[in-house]
This record gives sequence, structure tokens and C-alpha cells, in this order.
Amino acid sequence: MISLSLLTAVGLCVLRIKYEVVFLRKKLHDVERDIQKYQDDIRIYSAEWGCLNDPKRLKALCEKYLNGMRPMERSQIISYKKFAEGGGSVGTDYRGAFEKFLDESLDHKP
Amino acid sequence: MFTSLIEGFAMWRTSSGHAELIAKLRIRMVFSGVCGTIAFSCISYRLVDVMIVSRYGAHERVDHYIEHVERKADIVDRSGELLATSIATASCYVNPSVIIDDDEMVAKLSKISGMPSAEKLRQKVSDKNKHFVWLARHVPPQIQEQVMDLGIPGIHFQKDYKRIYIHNNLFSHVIGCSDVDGIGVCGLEKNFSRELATSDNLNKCLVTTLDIRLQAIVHEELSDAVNKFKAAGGNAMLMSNTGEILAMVSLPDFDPNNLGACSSVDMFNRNTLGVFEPGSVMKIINVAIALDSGAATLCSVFDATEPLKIGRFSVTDFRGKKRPLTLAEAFVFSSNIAAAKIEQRFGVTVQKAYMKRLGLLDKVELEIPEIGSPIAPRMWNESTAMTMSYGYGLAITPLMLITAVTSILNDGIRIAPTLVYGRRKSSTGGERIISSETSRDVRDLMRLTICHGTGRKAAVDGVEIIGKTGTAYQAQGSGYGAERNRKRITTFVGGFPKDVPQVILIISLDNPKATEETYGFATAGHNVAPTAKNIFKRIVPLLYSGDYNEPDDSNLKSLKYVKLQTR
Repeated sequence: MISLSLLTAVGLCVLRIKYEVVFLRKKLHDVERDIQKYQDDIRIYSAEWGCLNDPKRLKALCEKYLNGMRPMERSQIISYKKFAEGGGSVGTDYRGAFEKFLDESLDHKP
Repeated sequence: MFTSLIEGFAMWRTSSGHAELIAKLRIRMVFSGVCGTIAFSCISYRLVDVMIVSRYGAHERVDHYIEHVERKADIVDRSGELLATSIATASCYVNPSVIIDDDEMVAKLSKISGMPSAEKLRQKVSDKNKHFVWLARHVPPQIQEQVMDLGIPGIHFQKDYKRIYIHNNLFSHVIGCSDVDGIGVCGLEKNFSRELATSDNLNKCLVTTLDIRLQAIVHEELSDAVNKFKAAGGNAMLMSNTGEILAMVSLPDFDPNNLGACSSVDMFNRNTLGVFEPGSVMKIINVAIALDSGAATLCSVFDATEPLKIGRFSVTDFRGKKRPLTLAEAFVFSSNIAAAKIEQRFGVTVQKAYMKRLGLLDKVELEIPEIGSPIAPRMWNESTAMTMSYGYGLAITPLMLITAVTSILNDGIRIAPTLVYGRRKSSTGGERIISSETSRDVRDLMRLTICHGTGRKAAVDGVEIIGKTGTAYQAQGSGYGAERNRKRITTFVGGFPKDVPQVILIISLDNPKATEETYGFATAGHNVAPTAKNIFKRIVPLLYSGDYNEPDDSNLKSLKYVKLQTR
């Protein structure tokens, strides 16, 4: 009788464990499917972001909205050292010009 | 009789030994009951298993299939900007064996745009033994909704992945394209088709050496040049001094998102497949060999007064100086006569050995399958060697040329071109091809060409651009065609800054035409050199952060060997 009881108990345990495993697997599967879905969504958003950052599109937008702005030129670049010295070899007061630009920008800040 | 049976049974029960028998029977009944219970439990379990558990099993099998739908890893540029990705779509298929009314199905579906025509639909469902026939791949969501609203049994949708190229034709030749099943057709997509689809790599991405900013600039300027000079096509490449390809553009190009509309001409990558005789840009190689082998020095003099006779041909100069020229002058003023005479100094064997070491006689290795082989002369004799000195007789791809020139400019250390970030070989670990001094002299000469020679229109303020132009006639049949029908190919090879070139550019135009702006000339100095200038002008601020100083060219070593007043 004891053996039979044990057998039944073990059988029930196995059955329960099996069901738990089945449901956990289902849960895992659902989570994996959700991850996959989110990854697919992220990929679509990344693609959209890439399209929004297309150089041709950005150029067209710059030309439309950034009036008076143009691509940076070689002559507009100086090293930090030269900037800190406050002057360039061609006699430009870079730091003064920068500080003036900052002041004007801050003054016009709403 | 019935009464006697009951009496007999009563007697049997009361008789001795029968009590034991009854006990045994009771145990057997209990045992049978337990067995029956277990058996029924098993059957019940199986019923639950079939009705509930197996439903999940079936679900799992379907999803297992979906998980194995082809999805490839992304391709990004060196800054992580997305170039190619796979997005989830739905593809529509039909199970013809369960279609009840073909006419109704065809009538309803053919009205929806994006679905096959009525005739094709009828053809697809005609074979009732089939269980799976594609109707439409990568169907947009709104079309999918319309089809599902029809509620036709046997019409299903399956999850699918579509490869999309974010920037359309900007990277067409280098990234390549994939077919409807995601299998690479050309470019990096073909070369890495298996790796990109490997499940271990799905969440990784292929990082290329390309830079979207530089690619966009090169593409725009080259397109403008092709249109302006009415060229049949063009190609350009930017390479770092470590061999990383930063930009690669070939025109005409194609939209990899619309493979059906692409022609084979559009898909031809001129940079890696187009072999041609490059013309005077080969003088970079010629001069490097002469200086490195010790056959000549910067001040060696070569008489370019008269055309040079080679058998029945004669070598002439385009707007030649008609006077003896130093090696430096021969390079800066691009004299063919002097180039041939320079070659005579070192000879065929030395030329062949150097060209082999520079990789001009072998196919270049790159991570795309479209790689052309050089066409070298069958008989490499003195006359062919002389024609090779000024860029004829040996047909090579722009990729081979830029690799060889970059190796020379990179302090003489050979570089290996690459398109995959992180695969570059150390610039100091490569094989030395020419000496450091020769490399410096060649850079000096290329700087002089920009300051005073044929490449003056490529000069940019505030940066020491170096370069060399070349104009060559294209081979047509066995020769170069009649004088008026000759087609040119113009090339510029150069870079910046002079002392440690970080970026090397090659740009070619296929049969450019003369314009009023070029005063009727269609040579490299008038079309590719200004195009190179436009490119340099835009990329220098992005890549070069040194102080702005006007270059001082007065201390160039080769300057003292060039008579500038003669121009």
C-alpha cells in the first residue's frame, strides 16, 4: 500500500512538474516573442532614423532653414592652443571674437 | 434450484479455509481497482495532453519555423550609422488544395493593388495538389489588412524579413544588394551573405570602414562632375593611409532597394572591376622606381626636345617643353618622353620587380567579390616597359592604383585595402617597398605638381594637397580608334597633408567632354583636378584639425630642380 501511495504521489508530482514546465516554456516563448517583436520595432525605428539622417535630406533642410549658414571651411579651424593664446598668425583675435559671439548669443537668448 | 445454490454458497462461506480465499479476492479487487485508476489516470492525462498541452506544442512548431526565417545582421558605417538592415514584413501565400471557389478568390484578390493579376492568380491556384504557393512577398501592412478582411480560406500570411538599404544608391556598389530571399547578390552583401545570416551574429553588425559623410560628399561631387563634363561615368575612392576605404563611388549606380530596375551597366563597379590604362598617374610609380633603385636622382636630366621613336611608334608630349628636363620637371610637367627615358635607366627587370611588389600585377584582395584582374602585356620587352612608364600597356583597376600609390606615400610601407573596420593591418607591420627618402621625394614632387604643374586646379587654401593627374586614351579594339573618335579617361590621384598623408583620393571620369569653362580641353587638369579640389575643400575641415597656416612650399627639396619661369 505504501509503495502504491508513493508511486501515486510521485506520479502526481511528475505530472505537476511537467505542467509547470509546459507553462514556463510557454511563458518563456511569449517573452522571447515579445523580445523579437520589440527588436523588430527597434529595427524599423532605426531604419526610419537612418532615413531622416540621410545626407541629401539634411542638406536640403539646411539649405531651406539655415539661412546664411554654409559648410565650415579650412580657414575657420584653429587649434585649442592657438585659441587659448588669444590670437592667430594672421592677426585674428579668435578669443575676442568668440567671447563677442557668446555675449551676443546670450543677450538674444529668450 | 435457486434456493439450493444460496444454501451452497452459505455453506461455502462458512466452511474453513474460505475466509483466506475471500481475503485474497479482496486484495485482488483492490489491486485491479488501483490498476484501473492508474490506467484511467493515464488516459485522462493523455486527453489533457492532447487537448491542452499539444496545442502549445503545435504553436511552438509554427514559431520555430518563423524563428528560422532569414534575417540578416545590420551593416553600419564606421560611426555606427545604419546602412543596411532587415525589417519584419509579411508575405502572402496560398494553399490551393483548400481553395473552395477559385473564381471568387481571383475576383476578390486581383482587385487589391500589390497582389498578382487575375491571370497569374488563376495560374497559381490551378494545381490543387500543391499546399504552398507564394502570392506576394513583403506585403505592406495596409495591403495585408485588406487581404485578411476578405476572409478567403487558404490565403495566409507568414512573417518574413526584407532587406532594406537606408540610403538608396549612396552605397550601392560597395554594400551591394540582396535578392527577395535575402541572399546577397553583389558587394559586401554577397561576400558576407552567410556570416550576416548566422544566428550567432544576428544581434551584431558588420562595421565597415566607410564614412557616410565622406561618401555623400564624394558621391555628390562626382555626380556633378559627370553631369558637367557629360562623362559616360565616373568613379572615386577615398582611402586612409592604413588602407581603410573611407568612400567608394561608381557612376552610374543603382538603387539596391529596386533590384528589378538595375541593369548590368549600372551594377558594374568601376573602382574594383574596371581595368584601364591609367595614363600619366603611372609616372608616380615610374619616378618612385627610378629614385628608389638609384637609377636617377631628382636632378638627373632627360632630353625631351624631340619625340622618342620606339619601333614604328613615337612617344610625344602633350604641350611639351621641348627641352632637356630634370626628373623633377619631367614629373611636374608630365613629360612622356622623359618618362620613357627614365624607364630606360632602370630597365624591364627592375620595373617588373617593383610593379610586382606594389601589387600591380596581381588581383587585389578586398572583401567584395567584384575584383578585376590586371591585364599585363604578354611580351614584357623594352618597348612595352617604356609605354608602361607613362601609363599605357598595363591595364589596372583604380583600386590597384590607389593601393600602390598609398603604399608609396605611406612612407614606402605596403598597405592592404579593406572595407571591414578592425581588419586593417598595422601600417608599421607591412612590407617595405620603397625607402622612406624616396617616399618623401615623391610626396614633394606631387606637391610641386599641385603648386606649379598639371594639378594646379586641385589646390586648396590652407592645406598641403599633393597629387598627380593623368589623361589616357581608352583602348578600342586593337588600338585607340581614329583621332576624332578617341575616348579619354582622366584620372587624379592625390591626398593630404604632404608630410603624413592621411587620406588618398582617386577620381576618374570616363570620356569627359570639353566645356567653355575648360577652354576646349578635356584633360585631367581641367575636369578631375577641380572635382578633386571640391572634394578636398569639403572633407578637409572634417578630417584635418591642424592650425590654419598657408603652406610654405619654398623649402621643397625638388623645387630647386624645376624651372618655373618656363611655364
